[in-house]
Amino acid sequence: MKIKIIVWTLVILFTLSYSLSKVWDIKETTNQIVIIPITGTITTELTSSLMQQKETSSTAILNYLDLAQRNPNIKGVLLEINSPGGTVVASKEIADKVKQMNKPVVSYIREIGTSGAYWIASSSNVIVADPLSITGSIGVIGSYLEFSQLLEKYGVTYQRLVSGSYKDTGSPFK
Amino acid sequence: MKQARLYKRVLAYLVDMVVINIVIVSPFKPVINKIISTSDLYQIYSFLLNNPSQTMSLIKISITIAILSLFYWSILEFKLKQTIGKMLFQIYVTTQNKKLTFSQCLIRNLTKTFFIILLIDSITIIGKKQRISEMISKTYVEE
Repeated sequence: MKIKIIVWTLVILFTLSYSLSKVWDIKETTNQIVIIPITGTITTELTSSLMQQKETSSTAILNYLDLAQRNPNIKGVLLEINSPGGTVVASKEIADKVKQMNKPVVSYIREIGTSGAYWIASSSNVIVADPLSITGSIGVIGSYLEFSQLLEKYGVTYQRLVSGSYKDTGSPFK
Repeated sequence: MKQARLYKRVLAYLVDMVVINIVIVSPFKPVINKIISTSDLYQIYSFLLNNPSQTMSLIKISITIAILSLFYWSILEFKLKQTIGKMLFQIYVTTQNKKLTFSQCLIRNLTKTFFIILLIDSITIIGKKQRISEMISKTYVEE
C-alpha cells in the first residue's frame, strides 16, 4: 500500500512537472529579440572575487549567441555594450561568433565601446551609439625617430645582428 | 517514542532533495539551461534584467518547482506520515491531535520551498528539536 502511494505520487508529480515544463518553455513566445549585455572587461573566464571589477566572460556570451542562433523564435540579437575592451582572444572569439551569426546583430554602445568591445561591435550588422559615447581605440599604431643620417654624419655605423630581415624593423639607426 | 535526531532529519532532507531533483526539477532542466548558460551570478542577473520574457519563464518555473515540491512533502506526510527520505532513516511526523491534517502538512513544509527561509525556520531545531513552522503546525518528527 505504502509503495503504491509513493509510486502514484511520484508519477503524478513527474507528469505535472513534464507537462508544465512544456508550457513554460521559452519557445512559447515568438519573434523575440535577445539582449546580451557586454559589460566591463572582456575575458575568456571570469576571475572569482567579491571585490572584482565588472567582467564579461566570452564563454558565456558564446553560449548566449549559440542559444540565439539555434532558437527559431529569436529573430535578432542586441549587444548592449558598455565595455573598455579586454583580452585579445576573448574579444576575437566573440567577434568571430558575431560574424558567423545567421541573424541580424545590432550593437548598442552606451558609455564606452572601445578596443576589443569596438572590435565586437564592428562585427555586427549595425552599430548604434550616442554622440557622446566613447568609441574606437582599435587597431595598431607605431612610430619612431629616425637617426640614420645623423649617425652617418658623425661616422657612426649600425651593425645588425639579427636572425630575420624584419627583426629590427622599428630601429631608428638604419 | 523520542524526537528524531538532527542528523537523521538532515540526511532524510537530503535524500528527499535528490528525489525532488530527479522527479520534479529534471523535466525543467532543458528550459532552465536555455536561460542560464553561465555560473556567474552577475552575468545571469544582467541577462535576466535585460530579457523580461526569459525572466518571467524562470520565475514561473521556480514557483512551479516550489509548489510541486511542497506537494511532494505534504502529500506523502499526510498519507504515510513519512517521505522517502524519512522512510530510509525510520523517522515520521506526528501531531498533538489524533490525526495529521493536510493543512498541518502544508504549513510545516512551507518553508522547505525556500532554502534561506528554511535555515531561519530551523534556528530552533537544536534547542527544542522542532522548527518554527513545526511549532506553528503543532507537529513533531519522531523516531
